[in-house]
Amino acid sequence: MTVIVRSQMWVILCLCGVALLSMGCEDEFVDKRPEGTLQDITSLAEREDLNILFVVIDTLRSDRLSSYGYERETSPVLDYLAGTGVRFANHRAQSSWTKASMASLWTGLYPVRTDVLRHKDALTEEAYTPAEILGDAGYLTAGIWRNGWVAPNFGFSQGFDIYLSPALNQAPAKLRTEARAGRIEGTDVDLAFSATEFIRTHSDQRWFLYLHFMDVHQYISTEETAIFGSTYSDAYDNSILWTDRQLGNILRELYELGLEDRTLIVVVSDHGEAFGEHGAEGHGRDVHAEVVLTPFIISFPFKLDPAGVVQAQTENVDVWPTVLDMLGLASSNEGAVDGTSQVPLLTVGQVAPMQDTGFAQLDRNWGRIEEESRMVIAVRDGPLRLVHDPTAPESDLLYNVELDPLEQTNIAEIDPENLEKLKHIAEEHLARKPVWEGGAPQVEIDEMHLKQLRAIGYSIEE
Amino acid sequence: MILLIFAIQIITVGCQKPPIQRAIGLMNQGRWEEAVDLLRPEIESNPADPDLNEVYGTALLRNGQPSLAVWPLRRSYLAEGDRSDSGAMLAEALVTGGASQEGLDLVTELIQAEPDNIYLLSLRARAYSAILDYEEALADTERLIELSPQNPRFLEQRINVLIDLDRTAEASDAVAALRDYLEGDEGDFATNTKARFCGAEARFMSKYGEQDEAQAMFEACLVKYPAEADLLMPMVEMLIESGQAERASEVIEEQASSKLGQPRLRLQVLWALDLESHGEMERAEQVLRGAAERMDAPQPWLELADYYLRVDDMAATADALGHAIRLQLAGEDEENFDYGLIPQEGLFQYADILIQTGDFDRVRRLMKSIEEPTFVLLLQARLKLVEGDARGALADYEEAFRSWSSNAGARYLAAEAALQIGEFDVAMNHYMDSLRADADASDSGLILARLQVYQRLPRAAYDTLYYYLRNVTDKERARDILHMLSQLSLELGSLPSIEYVRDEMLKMDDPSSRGMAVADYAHGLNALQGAEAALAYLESVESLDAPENAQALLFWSRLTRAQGDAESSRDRIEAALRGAPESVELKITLGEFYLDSPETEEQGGALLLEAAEAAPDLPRAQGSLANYLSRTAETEALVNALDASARLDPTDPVYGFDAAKTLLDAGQKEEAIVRLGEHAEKFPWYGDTATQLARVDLEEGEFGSRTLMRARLGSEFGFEDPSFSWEVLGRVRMARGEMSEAELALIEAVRFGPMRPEPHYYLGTVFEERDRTDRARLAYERALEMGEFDEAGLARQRLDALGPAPENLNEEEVTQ
Repeated sequence: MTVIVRSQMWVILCLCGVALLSMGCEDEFVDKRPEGTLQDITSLAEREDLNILFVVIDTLRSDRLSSYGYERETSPVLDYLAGTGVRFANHRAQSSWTKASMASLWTGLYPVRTDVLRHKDALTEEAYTPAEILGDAGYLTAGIWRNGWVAPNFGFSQGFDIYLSPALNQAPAKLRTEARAGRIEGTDVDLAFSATEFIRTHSDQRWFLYLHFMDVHQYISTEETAIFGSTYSDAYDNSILWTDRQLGNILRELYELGLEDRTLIVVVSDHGEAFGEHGAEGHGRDVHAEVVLTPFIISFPFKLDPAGVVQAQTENVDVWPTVLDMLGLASSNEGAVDGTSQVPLLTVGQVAPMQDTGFAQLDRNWGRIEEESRMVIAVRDGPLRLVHDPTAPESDLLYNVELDPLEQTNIAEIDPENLEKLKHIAEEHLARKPVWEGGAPQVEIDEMHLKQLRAIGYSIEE
Repeated sequence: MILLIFAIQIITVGCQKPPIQRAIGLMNQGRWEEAVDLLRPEIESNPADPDLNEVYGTALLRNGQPSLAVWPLRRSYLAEGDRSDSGAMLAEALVTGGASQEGLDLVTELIQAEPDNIYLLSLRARAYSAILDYEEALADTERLIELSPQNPRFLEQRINVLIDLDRTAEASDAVAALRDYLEGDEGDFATNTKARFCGAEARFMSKYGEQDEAQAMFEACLVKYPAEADLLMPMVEMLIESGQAERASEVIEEQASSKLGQPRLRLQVLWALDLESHGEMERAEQVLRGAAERMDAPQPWLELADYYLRVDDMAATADALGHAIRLQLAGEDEENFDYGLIPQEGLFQYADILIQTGDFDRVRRLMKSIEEPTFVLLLQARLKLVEGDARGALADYEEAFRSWSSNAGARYLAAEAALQIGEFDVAMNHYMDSLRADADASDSGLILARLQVYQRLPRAAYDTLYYYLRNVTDKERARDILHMLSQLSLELGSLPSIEYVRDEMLKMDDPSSRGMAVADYAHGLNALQGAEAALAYLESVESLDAPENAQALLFWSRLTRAQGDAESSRDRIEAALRGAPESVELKITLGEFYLDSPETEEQGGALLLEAAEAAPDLPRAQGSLANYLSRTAETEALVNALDASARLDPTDPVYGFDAAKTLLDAGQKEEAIVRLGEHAEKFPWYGDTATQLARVDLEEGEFGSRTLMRARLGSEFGFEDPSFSWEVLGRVRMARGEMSEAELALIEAVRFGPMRPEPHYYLGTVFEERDRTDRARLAYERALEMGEFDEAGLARQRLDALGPAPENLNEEEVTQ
């Protein structure tokens, strides 16, 4: 049994409104959800009134969240969700670049199998995505996104009734805030306002709402949330607190409308962010811990007391198999999904057989059209994790992530046997074929779109 | 009384219209936001009401919130009954609110019912363009032109779509059609609009490959619409692209200096920029100043200010800006200005420039009108920095970064402030953050990498440069980064990295970068795989004897000679030079090769001198000459060569430092000190300069906090001779009576330079001071064992004074 429990820390959900930008929480909302247990998860499939709020916070590394042990209080809202739900403590994304990672998140397939690895690659229409599955099951499906890598032309709108990237300045003029840090126009306030309006106008319907927050990626914060200091690393923490508040504003509407006891909330991220831990800054350059350790939090329409903390190693490919399993829906991509449902683990403590290996992958030349692939792949096998560069295997790095989760000590030299074993697994994995014949479709990106992607800090050649 | 109030309330409630009616009333008055606020609670309690959703959605849409309006309008549209009004509005909300594909689907459905609806067709054309389906966008645009042939907006839209489709010839026809329309009797259009389309037509022609016709058309347009910038600019662009830069300059000058052109600012600016691009800075300034004085309006003065900013003349920039502001505010006396009338951003930039000109009083006056707290903090910080309060500056910067973390320039200055107070880690973090914020904004990346190199952290320096390379857009800077990366790869012993750098450099346009790639890679191979591998590679290079590969050829020759074949190695360079006798690069190569042998050294020096005279702007020529002169003890000539190198590569601190150090070593202390001071101002992070300044301070009996900070900076980032840098710090600490810190510094000096006698000697004096005579004796003995040095006499005296060591002394204990 790898689920451990901890005491519920909050009984009153305290959320701060957009207008309430001061640090103090001025509104309190009583959480009217009934108490529940992990076994109650099995009853979710029988409910016909359940909404799904699926939250992706771009560029969010889990070790910067208070609920994941961070010493700073960056995330009261996320912590509340984790404190009354389930938190997967050792969770990783499949890549450190949004498009590759999101393709895996939606399909439950590893990057080598989606073949979405370079900047012109799109998710094939043959993929049967959760939005399609849920749409077919009668949900109203809506997506609100702000990262150009999940734009419709890359295939990510499939299955959504409405897939919208909010226009600028959607908040009323008096509530707008000037954020100087961002390179792209607008903030997640636009997204939060659109999402709140969606919830308000569809409170009597059954919906699936996907929100893709972007302000952590952009290091956005305001005077009121910039409380942790002045370095870039501090600014990153400030932006987590800012984004946490935006999510709080959305949840406030949900609670005010009394929808909390019929909404399943899932929070994940596409990748983390590096601050020089392994030489790189930002993301999309390697697959070390700091860029792939991401949160996975599920908040149920009931409160868990005590909350669940899953210590088993999980990955983003497991997210949708788990959620769909909870809803009693089958995930299907030509019958092949790499991820596994964590429901048996949650309900009966049974670890899935596939769970002991995992992969993250990045083509380091993803933005360079003229150049050949330059893969880097991470293989986790039990407690060991190998970062393997097929073009320079002599510089491979091996870590014991159980003892050293942030991958500080390379043990490649002292464990050559496992080094070779994991290299072999890596090479075998890289040799796997994409699920869909012909691989990822290629799309042209126009100059305007390229500019937008460059504006969010990506270096892409024409 | 209570009953009366109750009755009034009933009457009021009873008479009130339903919220939806009141909202419509508000909307009729354009009070959209109030209508939204009024309807929001209604929607929350009745989300399925289609009429309510329609009114609420309309209010949101008209209030500029299409991404919110989408949801209620969609609910309304999907409800039963005739919902065509909701449909059109929903389509608009979708297209403008960020869901183009859905908007397109809907508007297509609506158009089936109303195929000639101009509003819907226009909306659909916009949606098609948004999803990059330009063919369909064109079809809709053409239909719009059919329906509304007199509307020039659709004609222009058609041109844009044709351009998006790369159908330039048709676009050109469309431009001609529009021009005909504009020039016809249908409308009264401005001359500049007509000129723009005349030029656009010619530009299309040039893009289509008909250069002569295009040029003729431009000339004809120019006759028809003289001195029109909208025409002149595409014409100049075309002339430059077709290799007629001289003609472009002529046309600009003719037009800008004409009677009609003189009052037109854009032409004057274009003329000045053209002159600048040819290095005619004085004339460029004259043009802009003339325009500013003639026109006597704010904008020309701002253009002049921009020019001064480009040439880094802050005083003149501030002056021109001040003039612009005075004109803008129509005031006579700046003392009485109400600065609050100027936008905050402009005020901030103006104040920032004034700080750089030293006009602090005016900045303080002006700051009173700045309300934005972040701007105030940044200005305050910069003021403190220039006034010597680095600690205060750093604190203000850090406060400002809370709300403006991505201000790369301020991060750079914060790093300088941190360096000044010895907060070296903080400084390096700010350089890193400046780099992250904007790699192009400064040379933070290079500085940080250099500091990491000085700290003997090649891996970190490599990572910094790699990040810098991936984010910088300036190709020239990319070359420097790659060259440095190559050297670091060599130090790290990583052949794949060396190969990566080579491949990146080979992709660069200029031949010298490609030559550098070959040479650097050969050096890498030699170091990591031996001379055979390097030679094999060099011999595989097809154009090794070409001037661009002169440095690689030099390396080949040296390797070949090292293998015993001196004759053919020399012959090959000589032959290459005979093949290209004008090549300065090959001349330098032969000169450097000659320098390697005493018998040809003089000949080599002559060649290098010749090369430096022939190519005064070639960094390698000046660098090689300086290298040669450094052997000859000709101080003046060497300093001149180093100055020339510093001028050619102003970002490299080495030349300036070497020049100052040369003067110092030659006894020209006064000039050396001035130069060192200037160098420290320009490169505040350069440790070796700081060490030399601290050394001079010590010689002059100064050991205050400024000297200590210099010595600390020198020991942290000193590169040339770290042992000496630590020794200077140790001596400063000694002078200040900080013996424990002095001991630690001198131990470092010994660690870096175990064979230098001076650190041992000074360590001895510290031990003596601390009553550790056994250790002191040993340190003096060690210093004297290493031979003569300036303080050797003193060391002997001190050793004698200490007397002989006790017989039972355990040396191991003493040295621990």
